[in-house]
Amino acid sequence: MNAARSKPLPRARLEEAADWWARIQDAETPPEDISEWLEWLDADPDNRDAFERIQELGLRLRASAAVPPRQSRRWHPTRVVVAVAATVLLVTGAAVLLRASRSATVTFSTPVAAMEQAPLPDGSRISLGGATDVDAYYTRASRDIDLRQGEAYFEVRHEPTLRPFIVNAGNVSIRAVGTAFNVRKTHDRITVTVTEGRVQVRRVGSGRGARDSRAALAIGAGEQAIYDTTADQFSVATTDAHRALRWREHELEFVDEPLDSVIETINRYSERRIEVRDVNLHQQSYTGTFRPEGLDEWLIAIGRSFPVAVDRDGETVVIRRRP
Amino acid sequence: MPSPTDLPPRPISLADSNESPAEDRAKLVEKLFREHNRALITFLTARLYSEIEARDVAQEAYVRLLQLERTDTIGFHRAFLFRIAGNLAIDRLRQKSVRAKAPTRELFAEWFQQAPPEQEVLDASEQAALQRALGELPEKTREALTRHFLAGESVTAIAASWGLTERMVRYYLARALAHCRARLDEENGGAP
Repeated sequence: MNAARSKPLPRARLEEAADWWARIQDAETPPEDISEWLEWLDADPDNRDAFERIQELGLRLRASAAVPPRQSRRWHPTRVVVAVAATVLLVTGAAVLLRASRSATVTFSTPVAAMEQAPLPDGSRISLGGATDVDAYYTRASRDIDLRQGEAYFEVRHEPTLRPFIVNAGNVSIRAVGTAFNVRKTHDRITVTVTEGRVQVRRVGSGRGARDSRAALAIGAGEQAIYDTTADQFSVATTDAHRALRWREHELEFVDEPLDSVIETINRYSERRIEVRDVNLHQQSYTGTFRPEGLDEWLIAIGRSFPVAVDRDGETVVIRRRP
Repeated sequence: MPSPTDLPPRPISLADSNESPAEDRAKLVEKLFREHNRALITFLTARLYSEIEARDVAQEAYVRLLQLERTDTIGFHRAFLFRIAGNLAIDRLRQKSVRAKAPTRELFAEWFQQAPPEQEVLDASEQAALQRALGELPEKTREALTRHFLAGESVTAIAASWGLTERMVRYYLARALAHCRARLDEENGGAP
């Protein structure tokens, strides 16, 4: 697919290549035809050249249609940045994969204010919010995900074998088969919001509530289960599930949520870190919207609505008890 | 659609190997990559109209191969790789219609380091040559190319509007591409 070409090719060769292109393009092409095409491709360097030049013309026609002439479309710099960042992030994942044992672990990790989407080994998809760490561990029997910190949205692919898809977030375990849901983990609450299908949510691990751990809550689309780590209990409510996904559009919506938990989530998206000192904000309930670019306005509003003082300390924002 | 893991093709016996099945599998996948990656990208580009997307899907296909669990009975031959990739491309096209694509992590970053070549648009002289080439084509052939490549209509939609099979529309497209390619090459003196 190189623009620098060797030599003009006879028309007959181009026509043959174009016929192959038409066959290969068809999603219904039987595997035998694809094998035959591969053999044709390997049989003569001119075949490959012809095929690539036919295909390149198609792509260039598409590209020419998409933008006005003479403005070449560029490999977008931000994409390069994403790719480079991902290279660093995923070296671990790839290395583990290449040494894959019977099961495979893939680690995903995003920095503050980042957002990423990635395929999982089974074709399910994961979208990661800022400052989020996730391990995916796949075996023959189950698809296990550890949400170690942050927030992620899972679009789970249904498998004929009904191999369960299990997300563990702290003391909460969410079990799905084929569905879509969001999990947000902060220090004192774990919020599960279902956008499609149903999931089972249960409390796992040790602690006061462990005796109830066999009981699972079933929640469906448009429902939200919130696990309060301090009280060690769940509450379930109906919700506008798409609100919980606004983070994917760089917008965070909170409904009646403790302010300390809100700030913890905001810190995963904000370039400036917010620090809470000498004041317990857990009893302060916040409802509202946050956008990373509106941090200053948001802080002013917080200073007005709550009994706190908001100050800058270099790159950090400090929230204290109002003197 | 059966998942790619449902129907393994003829198995390759790994019984004689001293290495672990996973290591064997990694080696086989690497071999497939070395020998067939260029063709795989070409194949996926034909399906997806984007080399960037093709690379994404190719990576996904290799990951799938690496992660298949039946280490002893899985055939790692070429056809299997292309079938997995083909199925993933279908999934990708379906997903594409419901939501915009976000950048995918480069799972095989070290294998896909350089950016794909930019898809340059036609310059003014090529545009003119294209117009002349189109003028030489039979009406249906010309219209197929214009509607599919320039207006972005799907083969399915064009076939439906003409009451023809998709295969027939693809045949027209192939004729049109071959003719335009040949004429553009001639006008540019073949090898610039």
